[in-house]
Amino acid sequence: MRTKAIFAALLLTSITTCAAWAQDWPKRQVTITVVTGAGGSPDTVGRLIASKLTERIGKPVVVENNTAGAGVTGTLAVSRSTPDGHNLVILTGGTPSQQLLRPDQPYNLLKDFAMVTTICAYPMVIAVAPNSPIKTFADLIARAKAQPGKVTYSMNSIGSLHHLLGEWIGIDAGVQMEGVPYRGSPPAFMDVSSGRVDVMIDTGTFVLPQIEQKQLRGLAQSAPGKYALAPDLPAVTETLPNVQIMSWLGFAMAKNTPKPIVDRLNAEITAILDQDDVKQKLAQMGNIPMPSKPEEMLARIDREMAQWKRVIDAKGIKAE
Amino acid sequence: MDLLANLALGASVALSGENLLYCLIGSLLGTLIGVLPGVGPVATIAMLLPITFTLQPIGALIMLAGIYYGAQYGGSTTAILVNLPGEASSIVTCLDGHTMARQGRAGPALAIAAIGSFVAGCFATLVVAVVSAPLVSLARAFGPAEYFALMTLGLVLSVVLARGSPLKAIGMILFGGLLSLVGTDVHTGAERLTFGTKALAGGFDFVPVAMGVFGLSEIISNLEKGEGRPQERLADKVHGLMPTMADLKASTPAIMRGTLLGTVLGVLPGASSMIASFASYTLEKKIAKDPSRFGQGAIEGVAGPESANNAGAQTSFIPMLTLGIPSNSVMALMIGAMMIQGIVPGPQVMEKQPALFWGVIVSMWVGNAMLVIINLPLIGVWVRLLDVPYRLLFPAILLLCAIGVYSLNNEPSQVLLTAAAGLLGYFFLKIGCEPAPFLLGFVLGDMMEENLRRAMQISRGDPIAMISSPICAVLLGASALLILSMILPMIARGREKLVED
Repeated sequence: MRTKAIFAALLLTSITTCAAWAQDWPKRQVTITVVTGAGGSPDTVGRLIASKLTERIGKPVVVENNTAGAGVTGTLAVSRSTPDGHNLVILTGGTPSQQLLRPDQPYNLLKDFAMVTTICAYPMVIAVAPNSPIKTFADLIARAKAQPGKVTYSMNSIGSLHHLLGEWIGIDAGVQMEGVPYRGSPPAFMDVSSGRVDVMIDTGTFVLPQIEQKQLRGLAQSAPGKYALAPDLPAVTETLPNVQIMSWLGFAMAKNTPKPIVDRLNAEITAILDQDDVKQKLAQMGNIPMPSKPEEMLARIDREMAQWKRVIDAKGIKAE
Repeated sequence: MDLLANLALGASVALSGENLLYCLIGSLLGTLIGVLPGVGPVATIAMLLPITFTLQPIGALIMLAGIYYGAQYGGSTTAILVNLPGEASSIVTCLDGHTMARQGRAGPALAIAAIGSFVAGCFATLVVAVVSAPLVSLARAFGPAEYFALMTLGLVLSVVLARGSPLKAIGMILFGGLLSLVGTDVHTGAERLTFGTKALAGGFDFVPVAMGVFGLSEIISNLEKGEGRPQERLADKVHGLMPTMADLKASTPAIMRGTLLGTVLGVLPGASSMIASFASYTLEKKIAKDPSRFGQGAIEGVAGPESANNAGAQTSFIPMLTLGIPSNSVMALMIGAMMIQGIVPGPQVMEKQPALFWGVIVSMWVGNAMLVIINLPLIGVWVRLLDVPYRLLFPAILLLCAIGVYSLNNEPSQVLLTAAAGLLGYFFLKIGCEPAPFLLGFVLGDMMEENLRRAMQISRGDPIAMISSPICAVLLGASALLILSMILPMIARGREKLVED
């Protein structure tokens, strides 16, 4: 009888504390860590969501950039923060491959985080200078076939989505292209638009405005089918049916963050992403909203890691 | 006449009451954050970004632009008064500007910096309005090989401008270059010189290193001098706040040359504003009748580089306005602000949004005028700051530095790094090595390596590609000539010595 009473009491407390967690949250300012520099796509989107979230939860939500340690420092700090829902980090579509290429990084993406929700998604885009002799995506493949290793493409650092997509295209099309690494898109754009490098592989958020301004000519984009914000641009899947990748941004917190807090944040952000002005602002930056359940986000990361492992193994890509 | 009509349209936008107010807020805020060591325009604009979501796009851009060039004015103030370069481009200002302040001539140094910046800002704004298109094709002509050649010239320049022995300067450049290689190599993804610590995977940031090597080491050496500290004697010696006729006469040609250099180099994204200020300093030193005055408080050494970096700050808008390509993180933020407002940055902005395009350009001129009006009277206030006893002044400087450095990444480790860099700078002082070549090597080292390897990759390992374009040939040729001009006198002197012996 007594044990039962204690058990019931325990159960009751655990239920009430659970609810209390969600009620108590947020106690203070909520911080969103962005591990890339101010002005980048994660930063701008983060600040947009933060300003909306501030209105909804009644406590300030601030974005802090921490680019130290190539992004590892800030991500690690969030994974080790007190799991009370006051520290978030923005992960990107580039995060899963980094876990594969740098197994020595001090956190495990799949185990050390509580995923909250993905925020938005955009395809990678393959583009050339307006006066380039390469006319279509099929044309690009044909040229790369005719001159193995001669066609150059601009990409981000080793193991970035830019690089992995370029190599994946190479595997599925049976060609070899030469990836030229750049720190960031602007210098890559300058070299591609003036013809020093043949092709640009970069995020839709960067390339689509350049295509709209006729400074680049789009060949293809990597969405599973047509991309709503660039309906005229053919999909890579039309030529290489398996090659499809959407990059994304998503929120994560320290593991063991109480489920009610995760769910509350998930609900708030999902509601924000449904607002018309947010949708419009995201679209202006080349993104479509992509809210998801925490487990869907984790499953996405798991799936992408498996997919990139195939590319990395096939091409022997190493970060050393 | 198109231009006049466009400028009139721009003026009607920029001179509207609301936009004037945004311009004033931006310029004031920029001056303020420029003066605070370590707090830069990037952090400020990032924090203000959400506010701009709700503003009119024109007003928002005018304000953000004002913060950016306002910070350039403010940055030279700390460089001159307390030897703290907030940005790469104000390193050179420290050399003669701070020496002038030590000699009791902080007023004229600050005034010349403001006047030079104003002249340069006006001229460069005109250039942005009139010849953006041809200048942007210059930016396009710069590929990896050209950047490598430009940076080579930049490094050679820093040897030439060093006061002491060229050998020591070269040693400092190499040491700086070595430190810049710490971090993840973009070509292989390898983490180099990190000793296995992830904290170093991103390398060292510029601000903590520059602040430590220049500012902190200065504080340490001042404290070492004890009671006879220069600052406390300084205030008695302050004569005039404004430059004399002789100062103006010496500065005018330097301002002109610096403006031209900065205007051209500012168009190139990357480290160009730093190279522009270094180049301007070297040029002034080379053509001066008495080069030994440089480093001893030569006013041309302030006038030229300050004009160059402000001209560069204005023309760095060209790639953004005409191509939609940011040349630094401030521009990236401004592009973010434009996109969130539904304006796609790029060549069509000029046609589709003429009011915005020309409004921003005219506002730059208005902002520069405001800045000179704000800054000239402030000089008296700044100089009074030197009256504050050093035992009160230096903890305040240290505190501001710590806050500024912390705010860069919200990382306590950065503050420790600054302290370490301060000790390193003090060591440099003790062994008679100059920090300026060290910092130039630090900024340019990894960029040079990256561009060299990229150029070789694109040319498939053909070294001729490094000199085949006319731009490369001229830049590398100039570097070679400069090296010769430095070595030949040394050899001649060596021979004399031999003969004497």
